[in-house]
Amino acid sequence: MATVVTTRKQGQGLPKIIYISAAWNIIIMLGSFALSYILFTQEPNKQLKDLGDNVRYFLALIALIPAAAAMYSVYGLLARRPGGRYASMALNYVGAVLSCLYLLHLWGVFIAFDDAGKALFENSFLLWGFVIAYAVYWLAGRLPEYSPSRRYLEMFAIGVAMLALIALLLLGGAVEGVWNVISTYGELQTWAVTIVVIIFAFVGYQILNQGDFFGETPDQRTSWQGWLMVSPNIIGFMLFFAGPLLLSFYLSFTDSEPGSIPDVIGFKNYGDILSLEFKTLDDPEANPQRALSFGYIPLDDFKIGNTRVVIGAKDVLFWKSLRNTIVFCMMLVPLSSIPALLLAVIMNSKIPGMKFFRAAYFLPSVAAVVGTALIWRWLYASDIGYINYAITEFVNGINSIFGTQIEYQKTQWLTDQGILLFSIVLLAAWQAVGFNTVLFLAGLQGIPTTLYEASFVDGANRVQQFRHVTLPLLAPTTFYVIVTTVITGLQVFNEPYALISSRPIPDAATTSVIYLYNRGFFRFEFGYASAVAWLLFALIFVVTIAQFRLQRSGSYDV
Amino acid sequence: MDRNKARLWFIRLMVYLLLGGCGFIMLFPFAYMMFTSVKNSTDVFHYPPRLLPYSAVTAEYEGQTLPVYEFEIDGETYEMVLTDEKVRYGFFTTQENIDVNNTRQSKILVELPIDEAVETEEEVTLSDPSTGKEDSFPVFEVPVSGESQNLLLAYRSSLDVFVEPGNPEFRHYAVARTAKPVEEVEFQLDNYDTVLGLNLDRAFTNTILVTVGVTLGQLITSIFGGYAFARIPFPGRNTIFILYLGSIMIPFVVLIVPLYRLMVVLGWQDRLVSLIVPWIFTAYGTFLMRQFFLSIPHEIEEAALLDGASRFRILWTIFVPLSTPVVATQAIFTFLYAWNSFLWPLIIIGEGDERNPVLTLALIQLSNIAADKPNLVMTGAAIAILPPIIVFILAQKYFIESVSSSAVKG
Repeated sequence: MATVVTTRKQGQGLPKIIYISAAWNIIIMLGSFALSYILFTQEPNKQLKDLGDNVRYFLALIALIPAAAAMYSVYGLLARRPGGRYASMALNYVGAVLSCLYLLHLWGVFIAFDDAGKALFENSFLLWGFVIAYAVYWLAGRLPEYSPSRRYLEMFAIGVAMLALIALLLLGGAVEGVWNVISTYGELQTWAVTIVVIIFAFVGYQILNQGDFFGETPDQRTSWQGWLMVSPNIIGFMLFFAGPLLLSFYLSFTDSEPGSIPDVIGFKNYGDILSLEFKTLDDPEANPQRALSFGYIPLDDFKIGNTRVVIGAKDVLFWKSLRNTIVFCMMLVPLSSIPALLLAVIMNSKIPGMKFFRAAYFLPSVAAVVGTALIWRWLYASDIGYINYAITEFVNGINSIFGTQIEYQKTQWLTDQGILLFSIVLLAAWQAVGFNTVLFLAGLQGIPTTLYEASFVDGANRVQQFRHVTLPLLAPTTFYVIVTTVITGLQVFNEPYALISSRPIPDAATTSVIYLYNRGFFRFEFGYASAVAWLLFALIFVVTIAQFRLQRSGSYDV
Repeated sequence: MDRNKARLWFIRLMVYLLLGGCGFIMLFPFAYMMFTSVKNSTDVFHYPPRLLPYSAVTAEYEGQTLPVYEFEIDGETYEMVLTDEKVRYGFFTTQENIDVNNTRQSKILVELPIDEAVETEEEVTLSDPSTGKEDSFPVFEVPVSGESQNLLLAYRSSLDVFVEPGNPEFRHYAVARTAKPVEEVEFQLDNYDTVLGLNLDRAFTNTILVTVGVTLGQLITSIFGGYAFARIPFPGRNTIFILYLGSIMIPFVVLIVPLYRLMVVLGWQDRLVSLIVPWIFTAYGTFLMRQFFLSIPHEIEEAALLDGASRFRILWTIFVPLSTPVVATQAIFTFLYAWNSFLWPLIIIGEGDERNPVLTLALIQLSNIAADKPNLVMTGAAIAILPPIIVFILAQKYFIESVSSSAVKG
């Protein structure tokens, strides 16, 4: 292969594309400045306006970043600096991606997912094509490897799947979709954005190919390829994680409510949520409300000696929900981990049928919580539910054996406010036990059997082995199980929401996330809800860190 | 020796009893769901509860389809249909046997349709001295084993008439409410049609679309990201990786409010796209892929690099084919996550959306509109729960392995 080596002397002039790119970068710079200016001075649309001026100012500042990058890259390109090329590449790449996303938006591609859903619904019989294809493919996998019939069957399966896909596209209105995209070109905006996308892509690609001119080393080449490959993640991270996280933090300091533009109110949300007041009452019969300051509602009261202490809170329900959540976790952790540990220890003794039991225990954690909660709603039904029936039968059995006269008042699992939270815990524990069992099993299988043999020689019995070999060596797994259970427990939402049919959800079953949901999406107090969310996050964070500390300082370090 | 063996067997038995008992607790709710989903609307309220779906047996009688009941008369069992006829029925006894305070408690000697007895003009007034209650009872000439006897009518009642279809002359009188109906096991598969018709069909296909979209999207982004983080040295890689991994620490609850606002700004609320696009970027999946790619030997890649293959080519032709297990694991987890997700769809689509429901939402909606029809709710639950269970059974290996590995690494 012949390589053409073009040598260019310094000062002989830069390739044309450098000038084109520099010019384009100047346009980007001016555009960014213009965007920043627009954002700074006026409200571009209603949705953005509803977020308040500060968000707009922030976005205006963000828009200055590409302007600065463009400025630098113009300089770098003309001075033949590699940095200029990279800045230009990044700028054009991000510009191409964002303008492409905007073009897709103009084409109506994102909204078209709804139509895709409708099309799939109307042609759902074609889904059988995929099922058949999978079945055939699976069958082919049973055949001996490299046999021709296996290959034919596999190709047949792939063919069926492709056919189903094509039929789905055609019947689902892909042609119509393309026509809709074309018809968006009736508007000037679509043309403009398309041209911008093309320029971004073209300039970016040309600059990319100027590696030799800028003296690119293979390592540098690898570097930008690495950046390119993580770029989808980074862009998604910025758009759907980092950005919203900042917004949430900002909103938590505002009074964002429906119908008003949010104002920054400092720590007022946090103050209102966390405010507690402790007052003593001399008269034990007095109305506790009297003792509290204005705005406080009695949360709880207790007695120390003869004085009665009243606790008041501005946001009583927050504290109640927090208490519910913590109690929930405190019940869930033992209920979902101790049985799991015992089951795992039993199943670890290599008995036949272990795989079956493991799969059976794992099943609940696979199913949608909403579905299982509805099953349990009916198992809990006080009059016809199986749980009360089983208890009644059990009590009757006891009575007939021992001749006792115990009477079982049917438990109102879902309406008795004192039991409600426990009912939710039982459901959650049922769902989590199998998962934790598998985790413990994995941990147990990591313990070398020689340790058991050694302890056996030393005369340890089963219980001693469990106490002195299994538990210490299983500590990391136990720690992991407890941390994950607590973290998911603190965020419990689906279980109470689906298990309890009454709306609003009774106070006794209001967990922190349900409280947050009610505040944010029932009353649309976004500022307040964000503050609740950050407090919940702080709690989760503190609990996790505390557990890490405990784990480190514990004697079971392995 | 024998004692030891017996002990071993006893321990084994106890172990299996314990494991089986726990397995029963874990699986029973699913059995309940499946059996209830094929019950009819009256059988679900039967007490004591029973698993199998029963339906009342019916029979043809005089051109009508009537429910069949079972009676035991003089030691023999008869199956009779309930007619819509009613008969006035008299309960007769002697003066001494009547309980004035509660005539229904009286000891009855003869009971028969009132028309078969002849009313006399007489009447007997009785009273209870302790309560002072007084009542008068008409006297009837009642046929008792061929003879006529004068008895008091203690009380009367209206009873349902039952007829043996093969022998219409043979009649029986009883209260239908307390009679024992003849039932047979019958699976009401219609429930599935009914429930699918309540917008669960649309929810089902929507859920498939969303799940497939999220799963494919996540696989693509995390294969690229995982490869770059594992194999391509670039400046800032470790910082970004740690930042990205740290995002797992942030609970979703912090993001729901701002993400909702973002969706409103983009015009994506109530739209399926909001269930797909924000969810195709995953730190956890990227991490999973990276860990797997790290375990692939460098030599394979270096040979290809020397041959001048591009990074994308290496990724596509070498790494992707090797990573079937991890792709399967991640696909399964994403599938489960997307299929079962509830809070985000609830916020962004909401209950009762006709156009863009997903299964979890439609299920909650169903539990509201069919609040008194547990059979339909269980059918809906089965529709939502069975696909993940089938996937679990087909790909059990990957589930267990990945859960196990997460613990060992964590």
